[in-house]
Amino acid sequence: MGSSSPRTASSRPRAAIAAAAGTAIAVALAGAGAIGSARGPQAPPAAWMLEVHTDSPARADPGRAPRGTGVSLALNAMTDDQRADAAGVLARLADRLERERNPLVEDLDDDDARADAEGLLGERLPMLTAAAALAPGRWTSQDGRIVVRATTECAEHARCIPLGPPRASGASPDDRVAARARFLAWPLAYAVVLRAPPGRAPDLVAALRAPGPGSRIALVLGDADLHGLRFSKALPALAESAARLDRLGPPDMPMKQLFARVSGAGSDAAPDDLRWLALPADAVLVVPRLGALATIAAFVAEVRGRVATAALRGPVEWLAWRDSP
Amino acid sequence: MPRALLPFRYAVARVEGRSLPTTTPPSSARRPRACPRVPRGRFQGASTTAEPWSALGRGAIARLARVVLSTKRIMRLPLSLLLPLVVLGAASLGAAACAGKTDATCSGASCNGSSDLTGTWDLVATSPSGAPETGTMILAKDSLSLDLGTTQLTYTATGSSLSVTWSHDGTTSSIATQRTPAALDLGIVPLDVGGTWAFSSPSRADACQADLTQPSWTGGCDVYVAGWPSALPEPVPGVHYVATRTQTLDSAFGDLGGVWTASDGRGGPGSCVVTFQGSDFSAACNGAAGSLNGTVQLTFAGTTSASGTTSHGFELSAHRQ
Repeated sequence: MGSSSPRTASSRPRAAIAAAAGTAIAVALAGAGAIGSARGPQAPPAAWMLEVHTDSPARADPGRAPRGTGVSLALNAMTDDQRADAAGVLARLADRLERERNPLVEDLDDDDARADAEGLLGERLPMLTAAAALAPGRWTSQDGRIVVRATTECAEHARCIPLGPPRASGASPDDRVAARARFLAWPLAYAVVLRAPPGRAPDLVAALRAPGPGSRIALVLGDADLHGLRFSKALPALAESAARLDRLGPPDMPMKQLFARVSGAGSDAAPDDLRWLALPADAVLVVPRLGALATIAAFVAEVRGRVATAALRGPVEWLAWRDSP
Repeated sequence: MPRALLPFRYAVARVEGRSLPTTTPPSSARRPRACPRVPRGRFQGASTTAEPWSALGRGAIARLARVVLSTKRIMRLPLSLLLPLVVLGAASLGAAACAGKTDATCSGASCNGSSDLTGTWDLVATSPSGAPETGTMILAKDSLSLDLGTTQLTYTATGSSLSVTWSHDGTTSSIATQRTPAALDLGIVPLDVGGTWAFSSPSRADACQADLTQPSWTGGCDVYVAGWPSALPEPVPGVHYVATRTQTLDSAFGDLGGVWTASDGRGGPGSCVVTFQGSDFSAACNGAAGSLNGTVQLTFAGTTSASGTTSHGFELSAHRQ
């Protein structure tokens, strides 16, 4: 979605805006608290590992994460301009739905609203997918027999696969269990974790989030993005647009749960989608697109290239990555 | 791929409380049946994109939208291309990765000593609800089993006896299948699908055909198929699509290697170009109805993993256990 997408403000009730803004501020404060509490003495990323259980009872339902999980991560990974653009696109789609519900209004068939919404979906879906997959911190094979959990303290009888530089896992290339566990836990196992020079994490994050054609990067989270919801002035408008879509759309409308979750971002307690994860100050988590796992070396190369071109006034420490599927 | 665009149209139509303009046959003609195309071979190469897209005008888009309006199948549309790609592609992928490579690039776990993609695969795919779906695919020479979310597809060939079953959201359909075998080298893809195929509902009221023989592939359905699997690209009734290889390229996909052009076979607008080269598959459709255009790509790494994306943000990865 281009930044030229205008925001649609005409349909926003002022009271709702005020309420959303107020609650969003509260959310932001709560989020700040969460961020603060998440800091302090933390294990270095290299100490994180995958705890693998291969003897779990088979289940018909692998226990997918609740719909909407990870929304706060995705919102935190969006700039204020991107949030404003998204708010505008969703507002126009909501306007379209509203018009079509009114029998007295002629349907002008505003395909632009649809096209913009479809474009937004296409652009943000990889990010939402990665965020939703990362958030639970626990991954299960379809039959339920393999359960993988992110942890810093592996259970005694569980298989443990350290995360870190490629050779830190200690797993043989022929270790199929380890490979399968990494695949299931792809948002973490294939992520790159970097540490920026002190105070330079925002610059590193900006460089990694910059749009690029064919980018294999799905999600970039600085340590300030991991917990709670980052407030910005575009958040209330986005939450309101999402709430309108949640209200106007049919019950089984695709992304409806997502809209509900986004709209809730302006009224509920700050959702912390990554309670289980803590990173050091100045750390940055870079999650690949799901569709890039087979070309993970190219993803790492892209990250490397972006890091190299970022003006960070200091070395960037590579804490964890993988260079092969 | 194109159907990834439907969700919002769907939402609009549902709110309107009306049917979208459509040229779909009357409901009496929409018998509840499923007639999936070739269990998977249909998707291989050009046939996948020899889809209805080229024949789709606005009304056809609406028809597609209407198809999915009646159920929650819309949630599965994003997989419409990637899913078959994995089914077929996975079949081709391992071969693609290993064929012609040196031990340095295809050794140890990267190939597992396998010469093709036979085996059990874990799948993860985008879901419009946000949280990705997980699934399993089991691939062999004479059988295919795909289980992803609430969708299951099984194909088994025992001698001359063929069995195809499609299940979605708890509804299971058996498809009567006939095949006249013909030689078709799919490289690392173990599944034997060469020849001509005919699928029909138990009542024989609906019928779909596919001809997977050189030099061109054709396929289509005679009538609108009400129970068409939403995870698969849907044909326009009466249109038989044609895919022709226009250039030969080195590929691990055997006879698929090269550039294919697919169209509706009757000069309709738009076309798709499908390329199998090395261990990569890609498709690009242009000139059809605007929202149906787009690209798909799928890449295989060794015989153990594959990943793909569409230009509409949908993704899939597969890993052999």
